[in-house]
Amino acid sequence: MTEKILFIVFSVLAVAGGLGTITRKNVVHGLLLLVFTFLNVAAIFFLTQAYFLAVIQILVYAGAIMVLFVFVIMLLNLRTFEQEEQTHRRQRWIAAALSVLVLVEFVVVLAGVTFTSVRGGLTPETMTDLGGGTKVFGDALFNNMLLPFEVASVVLLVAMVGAIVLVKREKTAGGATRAWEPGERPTPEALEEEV
Amino acid sequence: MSDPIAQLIFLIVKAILLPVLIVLFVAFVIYFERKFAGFFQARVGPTYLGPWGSLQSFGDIFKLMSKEDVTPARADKPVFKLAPYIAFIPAFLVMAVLPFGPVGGEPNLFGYRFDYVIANFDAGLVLFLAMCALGVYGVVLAGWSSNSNYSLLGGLRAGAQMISYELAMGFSVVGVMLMAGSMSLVDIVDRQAGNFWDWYFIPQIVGAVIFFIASIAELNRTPFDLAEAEQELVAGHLTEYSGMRWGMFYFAEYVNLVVVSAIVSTLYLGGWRAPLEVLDFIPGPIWLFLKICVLIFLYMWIRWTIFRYRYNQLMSIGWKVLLPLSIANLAVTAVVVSLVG
Amino acid sequence: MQWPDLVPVIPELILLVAACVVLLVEPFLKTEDGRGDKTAVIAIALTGLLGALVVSLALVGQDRESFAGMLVLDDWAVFFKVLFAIGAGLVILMSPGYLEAHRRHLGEFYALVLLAVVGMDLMAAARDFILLYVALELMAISSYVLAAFFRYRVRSNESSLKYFLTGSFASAIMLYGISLVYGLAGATGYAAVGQALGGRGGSAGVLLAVFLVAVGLGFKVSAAPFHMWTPDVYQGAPTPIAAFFSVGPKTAAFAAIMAAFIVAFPGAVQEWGVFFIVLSIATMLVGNLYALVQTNVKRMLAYSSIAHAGYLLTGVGAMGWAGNSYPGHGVMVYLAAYTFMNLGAFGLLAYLKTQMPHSFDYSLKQMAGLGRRSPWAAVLLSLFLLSLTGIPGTAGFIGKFYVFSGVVWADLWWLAVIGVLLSVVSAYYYLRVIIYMFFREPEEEYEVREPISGGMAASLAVSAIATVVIGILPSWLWDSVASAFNALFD
Repeated sequence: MTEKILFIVFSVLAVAGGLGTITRKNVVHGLLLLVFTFLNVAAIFFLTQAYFLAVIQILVYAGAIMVLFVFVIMLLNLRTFEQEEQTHRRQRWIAAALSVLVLVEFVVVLAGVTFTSVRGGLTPETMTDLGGGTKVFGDALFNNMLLPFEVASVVLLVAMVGAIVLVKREKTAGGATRAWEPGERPTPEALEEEV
Repeated sequence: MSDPIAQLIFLIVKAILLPVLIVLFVAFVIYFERKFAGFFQARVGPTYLGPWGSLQSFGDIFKLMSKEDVTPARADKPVFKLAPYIAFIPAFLVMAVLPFGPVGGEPNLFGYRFDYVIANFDAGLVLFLAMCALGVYGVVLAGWSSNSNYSLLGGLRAGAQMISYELAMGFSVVGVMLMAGSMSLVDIVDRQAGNFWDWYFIPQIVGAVIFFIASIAELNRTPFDLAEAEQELVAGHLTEYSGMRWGMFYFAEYVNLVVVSAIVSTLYLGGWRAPLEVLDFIPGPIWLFLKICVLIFLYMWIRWTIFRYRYNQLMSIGWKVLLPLSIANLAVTAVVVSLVG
Repeated sequence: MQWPDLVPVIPELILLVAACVVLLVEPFLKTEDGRGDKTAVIAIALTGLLGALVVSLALVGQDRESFAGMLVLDDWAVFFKVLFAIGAGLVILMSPGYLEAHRRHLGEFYALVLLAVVGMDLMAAARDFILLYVALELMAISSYVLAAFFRYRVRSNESSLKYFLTGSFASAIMLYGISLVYGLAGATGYAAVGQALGGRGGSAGVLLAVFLVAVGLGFKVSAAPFHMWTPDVYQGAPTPIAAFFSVGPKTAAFAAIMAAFIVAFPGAVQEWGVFFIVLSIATMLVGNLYALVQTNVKRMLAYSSIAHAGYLLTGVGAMGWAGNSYPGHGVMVYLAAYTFMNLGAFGLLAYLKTQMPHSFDYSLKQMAGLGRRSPWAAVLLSLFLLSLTGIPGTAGFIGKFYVFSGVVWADLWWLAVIGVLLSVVSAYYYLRVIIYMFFREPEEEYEVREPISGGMAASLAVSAIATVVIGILPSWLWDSVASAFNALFD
């Protein structure tokens, strides 16, 4: 019972945080609400006794990734979107109507669905016998899920290479950095050219 | 009284008592910092309030509370007001998983079992790292919301520094995880049972040193206190704060100092365990307290002895020295652990 | 810990090692001017692809699974691995000159292509939704970076950003679908999901999950109405990369659609069959009709690739409609044929751009008189365009023939009629290019500096030969497709 109440509380807070994220005009406020959402999701993981997952959720999403996000936003100095000219104003209403329609559809369909229990016979007691949730999680990650785990590391490699390709400045002979590739013409016309 | 109810009562007592004790302790840590600073600089430090000035911190708290709390007109007010709390809370959460005495076993208090930990949690070490990550927000948001250039620069410096050193910190911690075969701080202390040569600081000496250095950066203390470098940035992210809000940041810094010292002793110095088995008659919390005191002294010693690094030096130490070293340490530990068993 | 069977991933491991070697070697090849000699890098990349190709071919006839059944090695996987290795090899061969002309020739380009191929291989070989998703992301993230490779060019930026935003949105939708599948079936492996959901047939929950997964993969094959990104992305991406996008990720997504939907959602075949049939009609219409009005040849080819996705989808839809894998044979033949002819067409555009890096804007006008200026280029482009139209004797005809005969076999003759009629429409915009090349006088003089040579020549020659050979002797391709399908459904 307590768990159910807590689950409802955290879910409502998480959804509220999510709504706040997309409605704030101030980007940093939006991001903070997103962090708030992540923390509530972590709390729900705690409730389901997935402690490791909960902590990782905080460490990776609420911590590392969001700090970088906040950084970028601050450095870009995107204070608000208010000055931005709103385009496609009329589309907004159509989009809103469609979104509501999709939401209703999902709710109706998913309300009638019975989800299969995927616990595989794991209860808090058997988890303790197996050496705790963290150990169970690790066993799954490094046995059944080994290949996706390894492929994910390649995805990270690609992300790193990509970041370097896209932002690294090239050094000239004198050691100064320049924003242009050797010989690339910095005229606006050249930039607009077909590639 | 049945056992679950007793455990619940114990839990409430622990959850209230531990933060209170730490807050009290922090008041004296601040006093000692000032006293040591005086000592290192051939001054006397605080002397007026209480015997040898030992109640100075309490006076300061009253002073700060009675001061006007200024919020800059163009500041982002909600964030500006929230930031001190964000800096303050994560440090306390780590205490929940910190064992300060034996856990489990026979009934030891009024016929009930009293665990010297608030939550025996099998990912406690990761929780510590997560809370470090959250702690960055306090500083970064304080810097941003003040709407002042000094603050913003200070906040960004602190944020960049903390996420850089967090990596080295995380990697060096994994060595301990591998040796203990667990991420639970309780288990990690249990695996270090025995005499002081069984503690992890001997096999993990590289990791321990890296962790210690990185923790100085995490704590924003000299020689890595670039965020508050007063010659360049006034007071960094704290520039616009005053009164009790400033006090909360100041306080959070010292709570963090205590918590990090406790984590270092737990990971590398046997936690609450006595250095020699014959000394086991002295209770665990006292040993932990002594270790924390020694480490805090070490942090203060470093702070008042070594000069501040330049920002690029700081970054190259983090990325080019500590991070590769910690990865090498992890690799060697992993190989050795898998070979030895 | 049990050591997993690594044989099924040897080709991917070779590619991965080659990519890492490329990244590690490149910094040591800097010359005086700071640009570096990339010959060694290209050689390493091609060696890796060749190694993957040879190993894949050596693994024909195997039937094993690994990593707890997440991944299989059978003729189905090998077919796609070979196709991807050849396709990526052709792209790499045509790239150096083009990149030099744009003064941005970096080793990372080749590494990213190789890593994208790793993702595509795994997508084809995956038998588990989690692996499918991770492999798809590997392919997609490499693609986003490759699209923005000319990072100061406005068009490249636009291309990459549009690709990234729509692509990540599609991934999110697909992931939602996968999470519903997991909730409904309690498993993520295709076979286990099929077993769990088989009895529940077309219940609303299953249909929603199937729909979301289909939408996510539909984005990747640029099926209408999820095609909007395609023309802008292809137009702004470096031309060899546009060629790569049009054949690589698309083929991988088709492989994933066929394997996942047949094995995992057998209870809802009719429903997803109808869904793909509707998508295919929309896609063929949109692709062909918009292609008619394009004056930019690169953009025209982008719309044409949408149209081809439509033809391919008719086969996929027929598979579901008939509840039988037979129409899928035609889809695979078409994918093989399409790889060569489309790479050839885009490759020629890359060649023309290399010759006139600043003045060529891919417009039809500038194609005028190409038959006289460089006859070989004009003849080759005509061959590829005729093949794309589906003229008998070329690979395109064989592909369309098999796909549409599969569709007719599934009693969907009206769908085949729509497909054929729209192919006739497509003749207009393909042949128009040929007419411009041979029968129009150029408005201004364009100089052609040098004839097709080097890697570009090799790439185009292979594409042209394959286009003709598949067109004339399709039986070996059909046989290998048949054995691939047997492997999937034994």
